[in-house]
Amino acid sequence: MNTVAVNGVGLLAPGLSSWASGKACLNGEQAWVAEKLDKIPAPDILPANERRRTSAFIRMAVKVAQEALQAGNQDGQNIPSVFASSCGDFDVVESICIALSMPEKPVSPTDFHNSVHNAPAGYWSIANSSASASTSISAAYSSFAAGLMDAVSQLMSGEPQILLVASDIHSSEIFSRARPVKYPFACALLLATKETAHSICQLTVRTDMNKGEATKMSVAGLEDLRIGNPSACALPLLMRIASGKDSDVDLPYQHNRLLKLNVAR
Amino acid sequence: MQKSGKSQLNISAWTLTNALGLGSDASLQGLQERRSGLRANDLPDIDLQTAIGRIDGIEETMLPEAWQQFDCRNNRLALLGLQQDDFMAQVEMARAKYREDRIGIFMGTSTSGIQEAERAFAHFNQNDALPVNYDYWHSHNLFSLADFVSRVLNLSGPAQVISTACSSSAKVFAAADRHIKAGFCDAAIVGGVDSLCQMTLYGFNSLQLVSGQPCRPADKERDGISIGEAAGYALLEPVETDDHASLRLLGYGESSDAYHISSPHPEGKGARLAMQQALEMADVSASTIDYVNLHGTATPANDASEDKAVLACFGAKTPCSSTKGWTGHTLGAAGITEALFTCLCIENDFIPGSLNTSRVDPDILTNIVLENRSARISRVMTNSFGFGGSNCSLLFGKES
Repeated sequence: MNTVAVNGVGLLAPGLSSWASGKACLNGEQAWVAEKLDKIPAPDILPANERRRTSAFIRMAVKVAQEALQAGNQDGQNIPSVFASSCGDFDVVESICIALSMPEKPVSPTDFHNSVHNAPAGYWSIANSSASASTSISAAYSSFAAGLMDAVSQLMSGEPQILLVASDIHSSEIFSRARPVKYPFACALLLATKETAHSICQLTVRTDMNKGEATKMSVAGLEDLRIGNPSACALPLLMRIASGKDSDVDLPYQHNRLLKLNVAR
Repeated sequence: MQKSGKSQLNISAWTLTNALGLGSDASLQGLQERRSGLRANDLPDIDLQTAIGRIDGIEETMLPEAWQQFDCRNNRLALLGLQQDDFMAQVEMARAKYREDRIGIFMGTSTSGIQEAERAFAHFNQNDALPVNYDYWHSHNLFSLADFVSRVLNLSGPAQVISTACSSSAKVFAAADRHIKAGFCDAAIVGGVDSLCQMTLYGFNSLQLVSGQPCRPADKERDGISIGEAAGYALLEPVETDDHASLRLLGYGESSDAYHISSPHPEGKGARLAMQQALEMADVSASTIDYVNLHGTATPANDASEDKAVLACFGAKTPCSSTKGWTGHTLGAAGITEALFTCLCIENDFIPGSLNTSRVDPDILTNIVLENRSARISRVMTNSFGFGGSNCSLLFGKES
């Protein structure tokens, strides 16, 4: 069993414009309304020339990362990061695939440079002047769970703190015909081996991963969000963190197995 | 920064497939005979004058009936790679030893089966609809690779794809070590598979990083990369007390440049940090490293940046070379390919001299080896650096 402290949270999804405002919807104090996400402004923590190149996918990831870090009252320079995303940047990949379907194949250099799965991690490191290690992973509908395991494994290997960011953007026009990711969703957790004055709860990640059914959201709209975006598989955990009550949460993992978590004050 | 001491993992089985051929013997022979696997681009859907490290036999590889939905060039290469060196039989033995759900799978790729999306969009252009057989999740999605490999190997342990551009399949070693330490699995399959596609060839070409001829790492006239494809796998198991003189992962270091998405830090700041961390983790000094396998892509900026980093870390004596002249830059598979090349060097006591390099750039100050040489090799560093400023250095050796 691996237990870590949750010292900051970031959130961005339809009707959940931040963790600060969204947690009231998750713990039931406020009704959740399925509002479309506002256009995300380019992050001001980036230098102007980098800011210009950011896509909506990159902006989402950077925004939640920033919120979690600020909530934990930390500077990002010395904090390693795990960026989890099942599908990466649909808009950028679509733009490249459209270019490749034309006779001259006019791939935009900026699109190609943004197409790497670790583009959000790269921009984040530039924004924070951080030389710390960063990984970018993908694991379909268990991307958040795999990212959490990776982050916890780094804490257990001696890192005092780590930032986990999970994000997937709704699929672009042509890709949406193949298999839509229906909604945009991003969240971030600032995790640490030690609790601080900013700690929200403790999170235990079990290493036994039995088969079973993952925890669902009780509000129908939020359940639709959960199954409509791979990163939104984090929602039941975020709901438990928001509720302030001790409880177990089971996240979906591969081969019908579960990542079994416990949230405690 | 790793603070938990040495890595304690044996590389108990491994296999690699690249432009030199199928299986590790083909790679060993190619390296020892100084025979490049690069050829003039002959891909039917790519109209670029460049050299490529293409693997023969991918088109003819058929996926098992049960896993047809995963069909794409990348997964065909993944399977072709798995079928070499009796690797699957050795995984089967590990499966019996550890249990199928206690072996983790950590795979690196940069583009997975994106070729299927390229084809689907070409079809869309003509028909205003995607082809009915385009299966995003099983081919194009990055995780398709680890999903497919876990099914072929009949394993259900923790699985993830790392996609950090050209450091992807170096970082899998670090992830596997940490997952084992945290108790999420007891052993691991690590690997990387990347296959030739329009996206990477035209993409690197749009950044003017592709050479018109076979790449020339560290050469004064170097003018860009040659792109290749590769698959490689290793079975990692914890060191047991009665193991002696086994091939091991001794250390690793990971860092970020925090400089630019598609250009390296000019002084190699992040690269240097990654190498230093790997040395610190293994608790060895730079002077005890017998050979540095460079990332050595052969772009003017990359080789200059890496040279400064290696010089700062190792000085001008340690023998260094890039093996990209044999295979081309295999991107998300470069980390595992070159990690296993260094294992071949350790097992066969030789240093490969940089192929295609005729005159070393006078501004490059590290000791670039140009001809193969015999030498007792007990510790080797291998570097992998990628877009996004993602750096990973691995340290392998034979320790008792």
